[in-house]
Order: sequence, then C-alpha cells, then structure tokens
Amino acid sequence: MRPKNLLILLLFFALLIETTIISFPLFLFVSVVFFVLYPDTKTLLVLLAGSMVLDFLTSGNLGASALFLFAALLFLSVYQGVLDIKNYKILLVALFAFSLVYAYIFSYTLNFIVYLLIYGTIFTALFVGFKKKLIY
Amino acid sequence: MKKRINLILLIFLLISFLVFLNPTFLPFKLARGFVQAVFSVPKSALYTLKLGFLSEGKELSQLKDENKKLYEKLSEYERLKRDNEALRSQFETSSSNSQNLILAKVIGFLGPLTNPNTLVIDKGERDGIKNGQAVVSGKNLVGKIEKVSEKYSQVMLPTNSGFSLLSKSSQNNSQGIVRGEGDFILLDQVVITEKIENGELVLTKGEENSVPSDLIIGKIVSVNRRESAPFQTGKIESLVLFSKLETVFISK
Repeated sequence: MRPKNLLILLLFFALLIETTIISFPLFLFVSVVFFVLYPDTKTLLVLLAGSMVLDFLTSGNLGASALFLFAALLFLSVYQGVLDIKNYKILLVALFAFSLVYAYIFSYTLNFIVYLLIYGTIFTALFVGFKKKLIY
Repeated sequence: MKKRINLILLIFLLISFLVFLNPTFLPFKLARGFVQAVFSVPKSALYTLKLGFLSEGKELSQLKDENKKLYEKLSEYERLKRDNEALRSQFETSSSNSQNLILAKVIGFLGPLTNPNTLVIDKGERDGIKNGQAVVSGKNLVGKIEKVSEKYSQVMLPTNSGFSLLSKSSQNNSQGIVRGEGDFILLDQVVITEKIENGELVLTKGEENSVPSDLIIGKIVSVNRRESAPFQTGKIESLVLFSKLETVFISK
C-alpha cells in the first residue's frame, strides 16, 4: 500500500478512536504529520473532509476543527524558514503546543502531565529509532 | 512554491470559516445525517469494546447495581412520605409525572477517560431530541442535552463546569443549585439556616418543560458550613458511573 493511502487510512482510524474511546486530538496529530510529508492541495482536501467528519461525529460546531487545523498548518507553513518542521523534534514540540490549545478549546482531556508523557514517549521512540538507524 | 502553498492554505482557511458561519446549509445537514448514520455502528461497537475492556469484577458490578437500586427505592420512599404528609396536612401535594422516555446508546465522550464531562448519544433531531431535555438512567439524572444534530446529541454531565440545575435534598427539602466543578459535583447556594447532611440524597427540583422533579443527582459526601457565611455547600457523589454507561433514556 502506498504511504499516502496508509496515512489516509490512519486518519480514518484516528477519527473513529478520537470520537469514541479517547478524548485526545489524534486527528490533529495525524493531519499535521500528513501535511508535513505531503504538502499539496489533495492533502488539504482530505484534511478538510476529515475535519468536517470529525465535527459531525462529535456534534460540535461544523467547521471549527477545520478552522483550527488550517490555522495551525498555516502557522507551520509561514514559519517554515525559521522552524525546520521536517525535523521531528521541532514538529513534536509544535504538535504538543497545538494539542494543548486544541484540547482546551474543544473540551478534551487537558492533563498537562499526560500530554507530556505521550509526546515524551513518541520523542524517545523516534530518537532511539534514528540513533539505532531503525528509521531513516 | 512556498508562497503557493500558503495561498492555498489561506483559501482553505477561508472555506472553513464560511462553513463555520453556515452550519445549517442543507448539503451540510444531509452530509451530517449520512456520516452519523454510517459511523453509528462502528462507534457503538468500539464503545462497547472499550466498556468491556475497562469493566470491573462481576461481583463488584452487581453490588454497585444493587446499591443504586436501593438508593432509588429510598428516594421513592422519601417522596411517598412527603406526599403522605402533604395529603394529611391538606396544604400541598407533589406529583410525579409519567415520563415519555427515548432509549439511546452512548457512542462517545469528551473529557478525561475515567471521568468524562460530556457523553455523545446516537439520538438527535430526527428522534425528537431538543436542547435542555433530561437524560436519565433509572431514577438517576445522567445530565442534560446540550447540543443536538441530525442523529447525535451531546449530553452535559453534572461534572461539566457548564452544568447548573435547581435541586433539593431528599430528607430536609433544602433548596440549592447543583454545579459541575470538573472533577466533582457541588451543591451550592444552600441557605445556612437549612439542613443538609452527609449521606442525604440530592434530587432535581423540576424545571418546567425540561428536567422532571425527583430525579436523583447524587448523595452528599461532605458538607462545608461556616456559621458566619450566608450559604453552605456540599460535595455530591453521583450514584451513576458515567464512564460505564452504555444506554440512557431521554425524558421528552
């Protein structure tokens, strides 16, 4: 399966899991990673559709998730010269900040320590992966 | 290339803003109904799986159910006692209205995993659900309908910081306001001259056209009282474990 299609499948699962069993901005996480890897119009169309589905499933305000997501992506894109968003360390810090703000706005779980643990674990896993050359 | 992608992002941001401003546009309503119908079954299955994974022992679960039923009987007893006294005194009567109930499945939540502050249910506008309607489990109040869409609705739980409801205590009929404080439920604005005790049940007072009276909100677990203050408060513990609910009823 092509990596892009795999990411779309991952987006679908993130939507399902986020709106059912975990109150955590999984869709935002996968969306930002998707955009960083494939910054094109087709990606943005998929993300717009996904955001609307997310709002449908949470019975939230339609368009609110999309507004936040595209504002976050625009921020990353505009400051791409200053922040190397393809560097996983910088991307994780940005995602951590976006997740906290998103959780606050959309009444998700907002436990700072839990978010720190989650992102810390991802960071450690990627760090070890790159160090041992398991990820290139 | 970079400027082009920024421009495209701005266009998508504008589209999102237009969607945000026009949520009642017909194609969106139709799409919402379709998406919610399609996702209903997998969400329901996944949520049931989650409850099964987090379930406590069978015996403990049975004991908790029995305890909940006993509290419901206690509340009914208190209500009959009041009715009896009222009929004897011939001054007043309290009536319990028969409720028209709609069954709904819980298919999602918002907030912490073990202490959610909002539930998502699989009934919406098409099923006659309206904002402000009470959601119950047996004789216990689960929450109030906060947002309604085509096929789903959000239920604001008493722990939600936006929750507020008129209440009374079961034994002493002390009036107060129940508020959500995120981690717990607070009984607030109880006049210092009125009596509230640990273990006493807190019931809904009954608001016209929305929340019926005499639904159990919870039991008082601690009282904060200072003689110099005009009001006293109490901490309430719900008899319902919101994170374990599979089905609820909406009171029409």
